[in-house]
Parts: sequence; structure tokens; C-alpha cells
Amino acid sequence: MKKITSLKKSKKTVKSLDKKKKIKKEIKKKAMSTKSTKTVKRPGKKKKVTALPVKNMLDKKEVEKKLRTIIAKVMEIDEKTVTPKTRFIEDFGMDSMMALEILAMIEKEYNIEIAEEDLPKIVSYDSVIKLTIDLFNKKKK
Amino acid sequence: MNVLGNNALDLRKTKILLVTDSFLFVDRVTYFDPGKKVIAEKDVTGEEWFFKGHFPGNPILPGHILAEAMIQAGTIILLPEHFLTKTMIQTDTFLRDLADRAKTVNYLTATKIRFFKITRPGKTIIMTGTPIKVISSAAIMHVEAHVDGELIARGDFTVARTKNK
Repeated sequence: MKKITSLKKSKKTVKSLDKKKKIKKEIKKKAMSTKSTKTVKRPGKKKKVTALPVKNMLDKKEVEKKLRTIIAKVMEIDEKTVTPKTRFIEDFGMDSMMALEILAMIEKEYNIEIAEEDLPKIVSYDSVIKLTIDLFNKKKK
Repeated sequence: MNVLGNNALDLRKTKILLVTDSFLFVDRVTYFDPGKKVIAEKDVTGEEWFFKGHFPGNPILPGHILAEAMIQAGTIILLPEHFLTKTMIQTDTFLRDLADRAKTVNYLTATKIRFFKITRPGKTIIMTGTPIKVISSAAIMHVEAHVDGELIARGDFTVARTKNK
């Protein structure tokens, strides 16, 4: 009889231990999956949130969307025709004045300064995105 | 900083722009901070050649003439300081710059302008120009025009700067 009760007890303790293990695993999984430095809150324990504010991070998709709008506006084309393979001079006959206008609009939108030497980089959609992100990140450092 | 101090520069007497006579639509410059800001004025007298036809018996300053005045005012930003200051002396540098400037022509390549109010003779237009982007071969300027403290027009202009052959 004694053995049975002890078995029952141990079953309970095993179950609660398993539960605890499961919770710990889930917490670890969550912590690993999030890319930010945010620490996962445990019930009953308060920890400081050290995540970076959203303003400092440039979302690539948003940049792509915004730049597509700027390029289409300056070159007077449909936004849908601006694709990752788009080359402005060959595909749309862009000239240096249009490139300058695109440059000025990007500067205003992201509060960055693009040097005259970088003007030749405004030749394709991909290169414009890369230039914008690089300069923005450089400025934030 | 206004390099002109309290002295306005009369452009009918001192030639600083390539346009002259009946195509000069800026009368004086009252504020000039090289590369940063310019304030220029145009007196709309009613004696101008375009009022005869625009419109007979109902003189109104044509929008495209106002736009031209704003562009002329805006391009003054691109000039070096000694073109406007009365202390300029005809040094070798000045003469070389003058000859060089005479060869540099600003070609208008794009405009984006809005007109808010009409202007009739008897008014003075005050035009304020600031640069949006300036490089060696081109410039984009922003110019606003006011009459009696009210905004009458606002626009951005792009010019290509090339050497005259």
C-alpha cells in the first residue's frame, strides 16, 4: 500500500516537473525566435525591455515601397513598372535632371545627404535602395 | 547672414544676371546669403510690355511671367558673393569669374509651381529663394512669392548649368 501511494505521489511530481520543463522550453523558443534584444517576461518577474526604438530601424519593404513611389512620380511612369530589374536609363530614358530630382526627394524623405559623387548610382531600382539604406544606417551610427 | 547689409542691390543698374532689358523681371535684391537664401523684389508698374495684351482693359500679371521672375530670383542663390556685394573690386579673380559666369547658362529643365492669387499693377512682389539641392552641373531651388504679406505663388525649379560654347 505504501508503495502505491508513493507511486501516486511521484506521478504527480513527475507531471508538474514535465509541465515546468514544457514552460521553460516554450520560453526559450520564444526568446530564440525574436530578433530584438527584448527579454521575455516571466510571470511575476519584471525585467527591463531593451528593444531598439522603431524609428532607428529602416524597414526594407517600406523603403522599397516609398522609393518606387518617388521614382514613378519623377519619371512619370506607373509604379507597377518599377521592378528589381528596372534600369532607369535603358528602360525609361531617365536623364541626369530626373536623377537629381530623385536624389533630392530621397534626401528629404529620409533626412540624409547624398553627395554629388553618388549621383551615378541612381541608375537602377536595386542600387537606389541600397544607397538609401547604406546612407541612412551610416547616419544613425 | 545678409552680405548686402542694409543696402539693396538695384539690378537695373548692376548687371548680375545674363538676362537683361525687357526680359529682366527682378528689380532688386534685398537679402543675399550665398548658397543659402535670397530675397528679391519686382515692382509691377503696369508699364510692362505684356500688360497690353494680358488683358486689354484688365491688366493681370501672367503666371508664366511670375514664374520667370521667381526662377531669375532663385538662380541668384547660385552666384558667388562678390557678384552682389558693393565691396567687389575688379581683381583678376573677379574678372575671371565674370568671364566664366558669362559662359555658364542656366537652362530650365523642370518646374512645379502653384499660383494662389492674381497680381495687378501697383504691387511689389517679394520673392524668397532657397536651395533644395545644388551640384556642379544642376540645381533645384524653391521660391515663394508674396504680395502685401500674402503668398501668391510657390514653386520648385530645376536648372541645368552648362557652359556656353
